[in-house]
Amino acid sequence: MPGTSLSERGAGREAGAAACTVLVLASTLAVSGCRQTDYHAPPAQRRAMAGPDYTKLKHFIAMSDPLAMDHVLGGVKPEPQGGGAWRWTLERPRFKFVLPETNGLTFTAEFALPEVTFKETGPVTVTYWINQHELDRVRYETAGGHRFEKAVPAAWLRTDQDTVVGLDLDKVWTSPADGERFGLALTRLGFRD
Amino acid sequence: MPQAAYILLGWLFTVAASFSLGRVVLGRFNLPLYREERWAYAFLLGSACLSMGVFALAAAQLLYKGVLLGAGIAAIVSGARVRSGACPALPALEARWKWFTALTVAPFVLLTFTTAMAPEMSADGSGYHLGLVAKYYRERGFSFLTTNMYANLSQGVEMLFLFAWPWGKHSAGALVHWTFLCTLGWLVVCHGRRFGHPVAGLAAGAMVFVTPVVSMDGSVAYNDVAAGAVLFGLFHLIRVWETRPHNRILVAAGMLAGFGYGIKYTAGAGLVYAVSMVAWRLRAGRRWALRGTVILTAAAAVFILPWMVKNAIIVSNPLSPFANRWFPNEYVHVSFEEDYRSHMRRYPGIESLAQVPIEAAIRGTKLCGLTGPLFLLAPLALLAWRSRPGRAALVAAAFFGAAYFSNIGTRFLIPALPLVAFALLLAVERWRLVVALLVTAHAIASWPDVLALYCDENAWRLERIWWRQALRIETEDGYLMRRHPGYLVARMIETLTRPGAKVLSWSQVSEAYTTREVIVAYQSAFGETIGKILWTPLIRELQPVRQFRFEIPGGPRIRWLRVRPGERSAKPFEVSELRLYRAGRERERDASWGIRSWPHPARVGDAFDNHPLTFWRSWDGSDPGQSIEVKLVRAEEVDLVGVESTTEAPWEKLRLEWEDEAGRRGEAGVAGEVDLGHPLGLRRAATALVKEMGIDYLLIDAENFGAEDYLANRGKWGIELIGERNSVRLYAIR
Repeated sequence: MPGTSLSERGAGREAGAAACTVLVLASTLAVSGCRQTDYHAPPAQRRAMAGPDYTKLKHFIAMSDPLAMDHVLGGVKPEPQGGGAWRWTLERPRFKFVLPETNGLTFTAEFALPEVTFKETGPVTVTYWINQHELDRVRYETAGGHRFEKAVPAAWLRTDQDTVVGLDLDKVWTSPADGERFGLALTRLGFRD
Repeated sequence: MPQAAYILLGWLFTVAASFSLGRVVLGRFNLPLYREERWAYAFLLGSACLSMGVFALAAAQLLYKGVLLGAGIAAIVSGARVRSGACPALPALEARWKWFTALTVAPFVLLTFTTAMAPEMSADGSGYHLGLVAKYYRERGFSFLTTNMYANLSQGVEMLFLFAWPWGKHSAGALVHWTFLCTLGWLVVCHGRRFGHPVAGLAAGAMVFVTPVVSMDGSVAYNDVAAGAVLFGLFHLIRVWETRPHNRILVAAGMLAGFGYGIKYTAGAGLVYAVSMVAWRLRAGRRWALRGTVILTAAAAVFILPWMVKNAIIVSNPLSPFANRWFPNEYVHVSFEEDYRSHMRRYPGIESLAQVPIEAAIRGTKLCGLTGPLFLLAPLALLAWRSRPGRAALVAAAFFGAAYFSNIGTRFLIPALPLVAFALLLAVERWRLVVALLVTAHAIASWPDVLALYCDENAWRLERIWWRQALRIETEDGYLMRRHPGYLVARMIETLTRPGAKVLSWSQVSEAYTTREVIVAYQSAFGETIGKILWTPLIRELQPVRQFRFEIPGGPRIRWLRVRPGERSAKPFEVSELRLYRAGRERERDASWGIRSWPHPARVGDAFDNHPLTFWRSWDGSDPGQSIEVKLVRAEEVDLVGVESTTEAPWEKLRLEWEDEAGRRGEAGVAGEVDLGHPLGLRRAATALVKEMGIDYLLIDAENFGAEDYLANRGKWGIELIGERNSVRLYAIR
């Protein structure tokens, strides 16, 4: 049988190799696990092609936005409702937007016809206007939340001036107590691509 | 010289260099092995050494053809100079069993050899095993590659492929792996012969060689069969040591255990097995047991540590792509690791482990390979527990098979299969006719034409003898064009993109056939970040359309503040922008601000750059230990803090903490939110950002999410369709 006269020398070397192994392994693990906690300065400020911009009007506005009323030309009650999520309109709300581009845009509006007003008014017809062009006319026959979306011809839009959006309601509810008028419970509207 | 000759040259040169180095090692250690065993161990131990040698050359950026040629010649000359003394042979085999085995295995040798020598078209082989090899050779060594998690796995066998690459390219690598297949079968035979069960060993060796998943895997540039061969070699060596307990056997065993880890992390089970066996056998003498395990571990460490150190240097995690919570880093996300582990434990279509036996033995699609129906008899192997060799094989199978549950692909059974086969045949060895029937039936059931009768149509398996392709009578290009869709895509990338370009892909590409750098979205933190940027325009839930607001009563002069999750949540903590306000006006960020985050401190700037598509994200579940901080060297009046994030973020649990210049501290939860609407132009902004991050092209399969949107809205994305192969489209970002 070969290999029966094996030497047992070299135990010291083996122990040394083992110690080195443990040392290298421990160093590797320790260095790898270091937690970096330095403060950095903020990077250069960038502007995406058409991201949110707080220095001017936007292409889309939610009624919860603190700048919402900056986009209103008229026909919207200033008091936020529902914890700031929506506002009442009158019969002819008007808005202005700034568009960074005009191609391939869709106008969208989200609102509700509350049960309390709908049971008095019945179905409501809303006519949508974009820069004095009639985009659509829709009859809403149920109470509750509604969403309107329709593509807008690029020729109706401009990037060098405000885009005016109008909603005409054929009827609103008038409070018998004080004569105050209530149209839609508007949540958000504007343009998306 | 014809291409086939170069392939054979690359393969034989690598095997000869390995074998020669192994002879040097065996000559030095004088292991108590028989002649037949020495052939196998010369290859295995020499492969371990050659692999480490190539690793060293790659680390030193010395991967030149001349250097490899010189190293190989030196190894061969060194091996030739070793005097091998008289070495006895194992007990002779019965001639009829020798002939029976030879006739059974011979067709499979031809089948596997020609498949290995034919152009490489395996998914992972042409994807990353050889893709990385090609890259290392192009770049003369390892580079700081942080965008491919497969480069962080140990690559012991790939180092051998790399040695063969300058001459034989892809197929030489596959042939090197095929050599491990032969070695595995040979070792199983040797094991039976040494321990008094030659028929069981011979039959088990044949059975393993012809097993569909083993023969398929061993015929392509994978590493599972190499891991299986090394682990079986380790098992056999430990068994030899049990009968002749010399420390030098433990050194050799340690080398194999370390090489096993170096081939594949899951083969690290070999070291656990070997240490456990040594400690158990020497348990009576605690000092001897400690010494034995130290020798074993130290020898293994020589082959393990280089991979750990490489990872620690390049990706800050010695165990990458795993253990990212222990070693936080910017290259592999914890969320990816968890998804990956989960995916590996539960393949698509596998609802329960009860499905595994049928899928792994007969069907072969869902678990990517099959063992053949005879392995459904594997429980009978437990009958071998009555004999000592049977117990030893079953214990080793339990160790080597334990890692299977971390990845239930059939090929992850390969390390345990030879041991199970040996134990099974040991259990029935006394009935020679049964042994012969089992092996014959398994061989017939494993032949491609028979396999096709019962396995799934798309099961991963050998198909036929490819002799015309192996000899390149049919050209490599023609064969791959005809049979490998991934090759078409790789060649499209190669011909239609500019040299040095980076291509983003959502799926694995046959990178071994292109010189361009392909960033696969799921393979790194960088790729995942780019992937999320490109998905954001398409998925509303990923868009930062909510600003969560924290009020600071009185608007004090703040010098420090921090936003963090108030409690744990499975949802990640993500911030697109963090803004400070006073009286409705945003505080301008300037260089005097200090910002930091945990985790991912290097990405904190993405939450302060005013870009809706960049973001800081925990890439893990939310945790109160995570935070984004702002330190104001010049205290500023702040009455509102806005955190912009997605609708998915666990915003209701966020907390703001602050400290004013008088040292007073305060804390608040979210007071309200603002709907930021629909950002316009996100598609173009996304591709512009991705281009800024170095990506020049997008490779999109028709099955990828949003594929039709890229095609229909090319103008909005700012991309141009420059090529299309099958269902895969290549776009240039303009």
